[in-house]
Amino acid sequence: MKTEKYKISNSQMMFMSISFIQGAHLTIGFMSDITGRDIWAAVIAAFLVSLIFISIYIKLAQKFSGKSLIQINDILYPGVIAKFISLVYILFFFMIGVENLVFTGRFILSYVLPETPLWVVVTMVNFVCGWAVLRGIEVIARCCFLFSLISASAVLVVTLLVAKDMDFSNLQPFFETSLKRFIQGAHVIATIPFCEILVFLMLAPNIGDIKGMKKSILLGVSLSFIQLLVIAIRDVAVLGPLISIIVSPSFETTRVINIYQIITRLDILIAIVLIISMFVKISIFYYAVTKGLAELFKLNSYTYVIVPVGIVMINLSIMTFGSSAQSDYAAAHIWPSFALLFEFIIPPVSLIIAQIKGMNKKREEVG
Amino acid sequence: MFRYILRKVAFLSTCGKNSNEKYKYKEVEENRLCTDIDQNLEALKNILGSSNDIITREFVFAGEGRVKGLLVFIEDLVDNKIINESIIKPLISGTPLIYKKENADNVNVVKSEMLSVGDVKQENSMDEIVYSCLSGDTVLLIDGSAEALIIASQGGENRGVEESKTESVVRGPRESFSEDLRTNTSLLRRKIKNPDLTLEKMKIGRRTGTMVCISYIKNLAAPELIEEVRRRLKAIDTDAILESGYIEQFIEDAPFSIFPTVSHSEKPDVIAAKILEGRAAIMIDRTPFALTVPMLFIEDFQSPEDYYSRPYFSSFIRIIRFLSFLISILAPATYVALTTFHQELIPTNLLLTMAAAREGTPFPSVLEAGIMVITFEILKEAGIRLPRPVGQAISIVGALVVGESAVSAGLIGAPMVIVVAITAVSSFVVPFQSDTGSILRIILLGLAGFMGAVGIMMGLLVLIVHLASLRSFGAPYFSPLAPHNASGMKDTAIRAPIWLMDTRPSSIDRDKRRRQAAHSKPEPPKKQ
Repeated sequence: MKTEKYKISNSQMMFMSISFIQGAHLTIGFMSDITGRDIWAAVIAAFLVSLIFISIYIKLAQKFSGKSLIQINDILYPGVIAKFISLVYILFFFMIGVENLVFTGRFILSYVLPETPLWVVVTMVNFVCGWAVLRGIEVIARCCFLFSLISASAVLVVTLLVAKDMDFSNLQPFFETSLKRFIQGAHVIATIPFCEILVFLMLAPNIGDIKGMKKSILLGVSLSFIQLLVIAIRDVAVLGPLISIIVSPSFETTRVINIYQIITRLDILIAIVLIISMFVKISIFYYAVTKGLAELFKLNSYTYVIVPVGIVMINLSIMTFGSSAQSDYAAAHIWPSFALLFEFIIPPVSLIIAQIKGMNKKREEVG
Repeated sequence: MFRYILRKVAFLSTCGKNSNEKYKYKEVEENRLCTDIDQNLEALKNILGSSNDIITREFVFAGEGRVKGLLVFIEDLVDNKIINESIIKPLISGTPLIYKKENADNVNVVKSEMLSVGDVKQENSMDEIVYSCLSGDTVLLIDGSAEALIIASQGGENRGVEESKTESVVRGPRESFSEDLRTNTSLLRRKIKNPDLTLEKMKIGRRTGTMVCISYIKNLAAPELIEEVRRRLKAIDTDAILESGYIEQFIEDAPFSIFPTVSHSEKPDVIAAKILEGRAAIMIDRTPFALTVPMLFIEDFQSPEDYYSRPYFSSFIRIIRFLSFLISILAPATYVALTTFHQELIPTNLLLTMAAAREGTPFPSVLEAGIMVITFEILKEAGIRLPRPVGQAISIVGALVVGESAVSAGLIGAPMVIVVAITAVSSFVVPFQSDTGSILRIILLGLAGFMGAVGIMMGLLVLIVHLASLRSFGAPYFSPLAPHNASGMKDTAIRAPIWLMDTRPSSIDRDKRRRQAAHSKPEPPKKQ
């Protein structure tokens, strides 16, 4: 493919990680019923935990510079086990893609187009993502600057407009949730928006400067963390105790805006941000799945599997959940424990194996 | 699927090539001159045919040898003054210098001692002779020598250098290119008095033999770019090149995209500015438009006047232009999305007013918008093509009948007319993108009618991804927005002061060399 010649630069990487995590603007909704008003603290805790794991992923990428996750597995694990782990990872990425697709589709259905059938929305979103995947990951990376700018300015606008409705005493009392629930909430935030950045390991062959990537990814993650924190504090300050019963706090916060009866109901702005950031997120997972399949089955090009993967994604997203309540419950209570294995256990183990193997090799060279 | 279609297209185009091979020019068998002037004349007449504008003037050189000579030219293409004063006069009545027919040096003697014309070439290939004759040069054959002299004598009628019609400016040079290639290159030379300005000529088009000229600045344009331009131009194998658009469609990177990836202009100052940034310009004979490559999307939003007036106003106008482009593609779609899907976003009072105005209109707003947008395109097209007096009638009919009576008859809601009017006016702000705008507007309108704001968003996402994936001669088309670069931002939504734009656009000039001294900021003299 011609588009694959051009590598992703460091600043593109930064904006890509910002856009990628911006997809969590609204997903923050489904953990708000776990942590309630302490969600901002959970965001901070989750960020700190995630930093450790993100550093592990980066370390892994740098150790095998220019190799994707599938190739890394092939090196670290023996034969069939490597293939099995790779396959499970692809399935994991696939499920995240489907979950995001369901979330987007259900969101659009419930807030923007209530009478449209789900499959129309999902097909349309997936078509756009598939088309972007066909153009190549570099193209998606290039667009991320614009996308993250649009999302960030939407957050800024909403925050400024809602300023007069904010009441910071709503943040009190601090830490009213039990420690167990707090940890659960932080875990959800760590696994869903932050540590999903693991998927960038699949893009490693397309990154221009693996060594300089660490700074740009960490900067991107931190910037989007600040954005997420602003959103969390804003939503709590505006909504107060209501936050734990509302399905989508950001959306409700935006609905509060009312300036001279003219600037009202800006919720469409949030929908736009959601569509943009979800587009980036789904496309990246979609790309990871197709690329992973191509590498696993040694295909010439990943473009062959775009259409079949897309069809399965659409079907699965229609069938998996009966309602958005179900999908939210799954995301908040089931998925994080599932993701634990892929995000928090396998990568450190891989890194340790890599270190041991590396040491052995060195010893052999010396001896 | 796309690949399948592309393969089919590629197959079809190779088919075309094969059949083209058969109908190549019938090669002239004897395509070199011989020493006998009568045979040469016979051969020339054979090729040129019996058209009555071809003049073959036989004469005898002054002097005792009475050597025969022959001038061949086309009556209306040559400058008669040159023929009479500078060619025929010295040959017939000048100092006798030609003595013998067998003297091989005759051609040189004539060239260096008799003709008083600047550009004279020796040539013995029949094809070349015929081509120069057809392009307005005079051919001189001398009995006994197998070489002819091609004497530059192009003349005839040409439109002079006039004021630009398509890109008018308030401040800045008025002149624009005309149809004549030489006039155009001279306009460029006068702007850039630098030996590095290179003009490479090339002949394209089997039947039209159009002169095409690649112009660039030797040390600024990347050698790979020039090589690529040459390669693509050489690959053109066609009958006719009648306008720059022919060349554009043969060399563009994305022939299936609705966005142009080759830029064009008819103003010498614009072309000069572009080649000074490291681009290559392609000038085509008989066309007042020159092409430049590589092209960036934002070029269409840059007017030469932005650089001539001061930065604040230029930046303001830039932003207005971006806004107008967005309005021109999005306004009808947004109106339809708002009235059909998201009424809650409209402030209540406005909603009531709009509902009152739309009350009783028979069509849904998508259809209404579709009708109005198409009507606008029809009126626009009619206004452009018709002779001017009739064109005015069209605009009156359009304004009164469509605007006024459609509303008062209750067929179309008044807000719709306002929206379409704004769209129409905005679409003229960025003239180069107005054709893409028309297509995008209708596509987005359809998407808005289908899925409201979500549909519009989907359309825009596809649009942005498409723009980001385009390349024009190696340069990323949507740069400096995607991929972003900070130095390019100085000339995007804002136009930074000239003294701040010290490097050339990095997507075109990869080396990022400076174009002016680093500290060019004007400052008052320091007090002692």
